[in-house]
Amino acid sequence: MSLNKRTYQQCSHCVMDTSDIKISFDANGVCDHCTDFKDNVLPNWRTDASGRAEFQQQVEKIKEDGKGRSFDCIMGMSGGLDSSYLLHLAVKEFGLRPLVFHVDGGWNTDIAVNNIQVIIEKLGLDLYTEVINWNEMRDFQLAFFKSGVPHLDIPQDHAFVATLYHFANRHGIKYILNGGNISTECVRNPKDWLYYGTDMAQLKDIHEQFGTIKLETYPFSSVLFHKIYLRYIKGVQVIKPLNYLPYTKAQAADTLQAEYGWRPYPQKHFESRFTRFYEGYWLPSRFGYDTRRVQYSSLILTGQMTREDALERLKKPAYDPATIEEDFEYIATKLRISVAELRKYHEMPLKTYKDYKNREWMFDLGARVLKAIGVERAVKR
Amino acid sequence: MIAIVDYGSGNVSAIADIFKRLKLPHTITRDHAELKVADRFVLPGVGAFDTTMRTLKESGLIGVLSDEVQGRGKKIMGVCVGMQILGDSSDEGVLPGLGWIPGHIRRIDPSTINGLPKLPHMGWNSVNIKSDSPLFEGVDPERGFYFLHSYYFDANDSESVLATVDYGNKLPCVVGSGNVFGFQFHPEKSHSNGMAVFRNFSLL
Repeated sequence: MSLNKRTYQQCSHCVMDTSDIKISFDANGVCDHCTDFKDNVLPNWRTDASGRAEFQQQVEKIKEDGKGRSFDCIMGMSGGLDSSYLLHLAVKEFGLRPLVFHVDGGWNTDIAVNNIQVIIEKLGLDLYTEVINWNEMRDFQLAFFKSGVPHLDIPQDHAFVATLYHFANRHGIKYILNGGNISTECVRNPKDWLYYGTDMAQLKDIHEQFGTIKLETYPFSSVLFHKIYLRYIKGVQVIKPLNYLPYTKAQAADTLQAEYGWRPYPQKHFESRFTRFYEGYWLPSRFGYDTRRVQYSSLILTGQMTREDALERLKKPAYDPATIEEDFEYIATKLRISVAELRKYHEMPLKTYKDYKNREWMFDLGARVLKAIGVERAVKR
Repeated sequence: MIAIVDYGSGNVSAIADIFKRLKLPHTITRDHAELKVADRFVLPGVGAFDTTMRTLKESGLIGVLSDEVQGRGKKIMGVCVGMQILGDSSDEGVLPGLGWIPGHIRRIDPSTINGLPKLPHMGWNSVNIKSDSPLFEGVDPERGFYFLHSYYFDANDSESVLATVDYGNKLPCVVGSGNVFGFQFHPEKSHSNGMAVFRNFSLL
C-alpha cells in the first residue's frame, strides 16, 4: 500500500528519497533538503568561539534575571541524548540552575528512567515529574490509531510540549532551554509523515471523531498560546543551546556514558516504548516512512555519518523481527485492546492529515515567516 | 481543615492542587497554631531519607506533630519519602525515622526484577489491596498508581500492610497503623485513583 505515485529516486548526497512525496531534485540529483541546508542553515550555524560567546551572553542574562529565584530556567528531560547532554552542559559548563521537568506519558523505557535518574542524582538536582492521565492518553492514542493517519505520536508529543509551557507560564519562568538542534535534526520529518503536533483543529477533529472519553486533564497548548502569547506577551524565550556549541552524537554519548553511566539507545526517540514501536515498525511498514532516513541524512549533512554507512544500515529494518510479536502484544495490552484490533488498524486504508480538519495554511505561513526573519533555518515542509 | 505540612520539602503545591480540585478545605503551613487547629495532616517528602529527616527536624515541627498525632490521635498520611520517614530506619541513611509505624525502609533488590536496569521504579503500576479500609473506596486497583522510588517500607507487623505492588517481589505500598498512614506511590500524580485516596483520607 502506498500513497505515492512517483517514480523512485534517492538523493545522491543524503539518503532521503521519494517516500518523502514533496522531495525535489536538482540536475545533479541532489534533494531540496540538502540544498536548503547548504544555502540557509550552514551559513548561519556557528559552533565556534563566536557561537559560544553569543550563547555565553544569553547565559549571563539568564543568570542575572534568575537572581534570588530557586531556578533560572526550565528544561524538559526525556532521558534521550539531546536533553541529557543539554542538561549536562547547562549545569556543568555554564552553571545554570534549571528546573528539570519530566513529563511521563506512560511509555518510558527502563533505559530512559535510568538515564534520567543517574544524571539527576550525580548533578544533585531535583526532578519535577508531571504525569499525564493514563486513561485519557490511552484513549487519545487509540483515537489516532483509529483515524488511520501516520502521525500517531501526537498525543505524546503534544502533551510534553503543552505541559512544559503551562508549567513555565504558571511559575513565571522566562527561559526555556530546548534540546532541539541542527547537528542531529537539520533534516526535518516531512509534514506528510509527522504533521504539526500543535494544530488544535486536527487534534480536536480526531478526538471528536474517534475518542470515547472526555479529555478533562490532558494538557492542550495551541500554537497561539505558546508561540504568540507566551513569547510576545509574557516574554518567555525558548533557547536552543546545542546550536551554539559543538555537538555531535558520538561525543555527547561518550561524555554522558563516562561521566554518569548514561546508557545509549539503539535509535533516536527510542526512549519511549511507544515511539520505538511506532517509528521503528508502524511508520515504515504501514506507510513506507522510515524516520531513520531523516536522522541519517541529518548526520550525513553535518559530517557525522557517511552515505555508504547510512545505506548499509537502512538495509536492515529498524525493528527487531524476532521481538515484533512481543511488541504488538505489549502495545495492545497497554492500550487495552486485542492484538487483532491493533493489527486491524495497521491494515486499514491509509489516511493523511488532509483527511481531517486542519489549519495547515496557518502553520505554513508561520513557518515561512520564521524562516524569513531567521528564527528557524531548517523548515518543515 | 487538612494541613499539608510545609517543613521545606517539595511537592506541597501538587498536593494542594488536588485538594483544591476536590474543593476540600486545606492549608499549606508550618505555623504551630495552624497545625494545632488542623484535624488531619499530609506529610510530603521527596529526595533522600536523611535529608528529609534533617529538614523536618530543622523545621522544628516534630514536637507539635508528635503532640497532635501521637498525643491527640489526629490522622496523618505520609507520601513517598514522607511515608518512609514514618518508619524506624532506612537502608538509605543513618538517621532514625519518626518510628510511628514500626518498620525498616529497604532498598528494592534489583536482582528480583527481570531485565536491566530497573531502579528507580518509575511509572504506573497496579496494586493489590489487602484491607477493607475505606481509604480504598472508589479506587480501581487495576488502573493503579504512579510510583517513583527505589526504597520500600518493610513493616514489622504484616497487619499494617494495607496494599502491595508487584515489583520483583510484592512490596508494601500502603501502610497504616491506628491513625498513621503512609503511601509509597504519589496519589497527587495518580489522577482519579489518587483523588479518591485524598478524598477518602479526608473522610476517615
